[in-house]
Amino acid sequence: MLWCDGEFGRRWREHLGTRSRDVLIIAGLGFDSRAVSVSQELVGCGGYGKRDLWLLCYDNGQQTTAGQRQTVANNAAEFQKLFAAPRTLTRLPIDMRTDRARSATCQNTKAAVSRPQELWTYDDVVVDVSALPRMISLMTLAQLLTIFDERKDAGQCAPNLHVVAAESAAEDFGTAQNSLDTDVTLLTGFSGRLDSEALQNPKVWVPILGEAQDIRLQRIFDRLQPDQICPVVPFPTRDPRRGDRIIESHQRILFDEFDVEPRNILYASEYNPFEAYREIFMTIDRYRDALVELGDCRVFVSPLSSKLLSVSGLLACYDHKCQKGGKFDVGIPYVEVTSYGPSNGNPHGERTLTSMWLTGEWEA
Amino acid sequence: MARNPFRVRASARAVPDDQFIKTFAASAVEILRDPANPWESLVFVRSAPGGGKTTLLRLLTPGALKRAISYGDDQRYRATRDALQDAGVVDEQRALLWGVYLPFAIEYQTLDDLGPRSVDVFRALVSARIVLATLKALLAHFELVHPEDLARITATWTPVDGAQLPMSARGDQLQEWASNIEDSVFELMDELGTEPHPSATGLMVLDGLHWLADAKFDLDGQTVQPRPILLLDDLQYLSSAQHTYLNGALTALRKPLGIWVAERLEAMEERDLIAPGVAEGRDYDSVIRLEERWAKRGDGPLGRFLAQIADLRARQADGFADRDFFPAISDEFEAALWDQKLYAARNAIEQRVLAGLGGRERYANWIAEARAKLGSAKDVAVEWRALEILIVRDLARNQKSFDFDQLDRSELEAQTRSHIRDAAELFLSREFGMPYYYGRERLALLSSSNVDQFVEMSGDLFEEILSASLLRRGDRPLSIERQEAILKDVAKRRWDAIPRMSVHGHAMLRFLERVGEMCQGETFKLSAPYAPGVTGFAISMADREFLVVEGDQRSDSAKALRNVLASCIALNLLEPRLDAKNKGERWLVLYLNRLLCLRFGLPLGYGGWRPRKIKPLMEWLGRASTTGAAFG
Repeated sequence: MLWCDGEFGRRWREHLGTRSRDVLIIAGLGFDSRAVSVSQELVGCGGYGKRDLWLLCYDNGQQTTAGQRQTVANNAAEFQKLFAAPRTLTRLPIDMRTDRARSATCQNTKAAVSRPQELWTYDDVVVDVSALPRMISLMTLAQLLTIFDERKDAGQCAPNLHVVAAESAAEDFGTAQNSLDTDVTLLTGFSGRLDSEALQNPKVWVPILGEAQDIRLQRIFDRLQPDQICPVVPFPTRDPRRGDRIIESHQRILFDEFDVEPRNILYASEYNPFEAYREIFMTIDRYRDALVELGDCRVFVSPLSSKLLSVSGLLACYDHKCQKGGKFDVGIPYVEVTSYGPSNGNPHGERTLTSMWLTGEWEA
Repeated sequence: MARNPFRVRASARAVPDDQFIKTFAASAVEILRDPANPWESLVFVRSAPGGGKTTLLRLLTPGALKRAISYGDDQRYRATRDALQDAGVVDEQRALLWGVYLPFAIEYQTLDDLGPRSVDVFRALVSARIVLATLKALLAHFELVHPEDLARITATWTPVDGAQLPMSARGDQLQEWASNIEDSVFELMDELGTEPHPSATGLMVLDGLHWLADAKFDLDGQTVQPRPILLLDDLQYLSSAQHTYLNGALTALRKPLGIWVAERLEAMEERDLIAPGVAEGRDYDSVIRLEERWAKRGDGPLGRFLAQIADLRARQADGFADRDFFPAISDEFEAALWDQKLYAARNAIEQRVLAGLGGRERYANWIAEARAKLGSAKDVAVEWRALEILIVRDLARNQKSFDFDQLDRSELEAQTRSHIRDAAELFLSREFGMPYYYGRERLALLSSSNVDQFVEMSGDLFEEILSASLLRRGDRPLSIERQEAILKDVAKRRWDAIPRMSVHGHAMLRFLERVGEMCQGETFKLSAPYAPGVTGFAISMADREFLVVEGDQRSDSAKALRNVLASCIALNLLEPRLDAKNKGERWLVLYLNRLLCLRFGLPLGYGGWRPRKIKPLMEWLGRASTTGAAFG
């Protein structure tokens, strides 16, 4: 179920107003100006029951600017105020780097959110991806989906699982001079058996494109060496020229270097992440069917676009992982940001609130 | 538009073997011949990203060797087969080696989370993959089909203590054994949720390595004569513990198996990066640092190697067949466009000299000599600018000289050496807007001995050449002005990417900006005291020891400096030269990558550096440049 824009507040008020509900929000503490806004909105929707927060305090071991530190401090104070007693705030530290400066994001995120006994005490678990780095948000969701499914498979009830975001293209793609990791990281659970020496079946790469992703594309391409590439471009979009601009700005790398067939380009709605999910899921499905005779295939989805389109990609991969068979496998390769430069984005740009209800009561 | 072949990553596995061989530069085989016993010993190949490590390893794989042999009958590609023959890799129409290529990836590091079992599982996974890669390579060597023909292979060996690989087994049995191990490890790595996780197979010894070194392979009952060579790529992705373990296992193997290990410089400890050469020859038969090897070979061999790369790639482009790359770029100033400007520059310099102290009688002979100079407009202008530098130098040296101490022509000739002319040309280009970064020689220098860097620059130049040819502008070579403009763009792109290249990217950028600023300040002094210019800095051996040996106990600033220097070296942004001697002292010189020299408008030759103490270098980390040192 999808609640956007004006519907966001109304539908959440209705949901929380039907009965007493214990709600856990999982959000990130960073220097993103949106860190607190969704929590404020949700808490402001009223209703009865617990309202608690797991605050993911991630650290990539890099120096931050005074401005960034100030924003983090402000966000921390706002969270503290919002979740003052009787509400609770639990800080969950996540080290994103090992002592050799390699990524440890997935392992440490997975460990941080694996607290099933606490999760079962809630009716609704809401993951706010607005201020979470991509790999942390996707790892959190993948782990929660699995834990909840394990519980349901055991015949027990699991909480509702929601994803919420305050999205702003101006903010997300307005940050310049970020340092990218030199390594490609595969989301834990989604290795796609990329480095298998035993498998020789075709590799299909589905990069979900956003602005200025050349370096990420190059690094992931070098690592994957895909046999087929199907870029996903956001369309329809709020800015009708956005898709065209994205293709134009990646023209050289896509067509000159990767030799992408223009007919392989897919379009996914920016308005509706579930539609995007369906598009990506069906694409993977078609390749699975078509390549059975070649010993199945391995599909890799790279979330290089908006936060919610990335969630769409994760959901498509998760569902295919659950239906895994033969030598088919699915992977999520990504290149993390290691440190953020000064943002040239507009922190006061227009934001769209979106809520995706992934699993729970509505399935019954 | 024709696809630009410079954009294709030749080593990429997606590039088919035939295209790989068609774009392989035969001179690179010289590197394979450097170690004393390359096919029976352990060789480490290290470089910054894009140095050509994977390309070297790939050449030794069965598919590439087959193509090299078959294309050897074609004049265009014969050099590769001949070089391989000289290196003992092929013999007329057959390969004497079959390379077992095994790349590593960052996911190995997740095995470290397994605690005490992690090494056992790591050993098992590496062993399994060596076996799987061996079977693939052997089938490829005989051009058989994988996995259908696996049963035709038999491997027999004498197992070492604790090994689990069977003493004798068919290929399909070995494939199953290894696949099961690999599957079990993937299950573990892909585990989500909280259910008890599956167990992965662990091994007590590195079975696969010992097996490959010892096994006798049969195909349909016939002994396989060619020898395997193990090619391990990208070891930089292993965790510290895995890297240490694997290096130990490889060096401890006392069997005549050729093992080539390729890794980025970043795999090295920071102390080894900042102290290049110390580890070499200690435990291994050979360590090859690619950029350093090419630099040591000199401009000639490097230039030939790069020319081969460029020509082979250019010929892959539609409509460019049989044409070479370098004739398509100009090496000369176009007279119609530049002669007037160069004469005007010459006149301006003459007036400047005569209006200043150069007008003294002391320099009359020198000025007469310059006036009599014949040659192209550019040569004459450079001569005048060189004269101006020499007069400034002479004045600084001989403050109390008299006008009647007239200098004769032979003194002018003695002093106007090539490095003064180089400096003069650089000064002239800066003052009068003449192109400086163009042509074959400077393009080769700008590569900083890194293949990817050269291919990126050449690719951008070639893009324009292709566009011109599509627009039917004839076969006029690409002008020097366009070359410089394009190369400046490449340099800017490289510069802008620095923050994204490393976890220390922003600090590296700040530091390099200050290095560039210092080099500019020293280079463009009126007397050009370090002609043709300064392009690096040096730290004393004592300071280097301070950084590498005792860095752990040092301040955060010292550690940050060590991190930044190590990252810059690992990424080839700074090129180290150990043990430069100057006035009885020994120094570690760190030169700017030549593309960064372009960024700062510096000359491209090596040799000019200034010593710096640790403290000011640490200060460079924290302060952004106030002058904005970028060029143009």
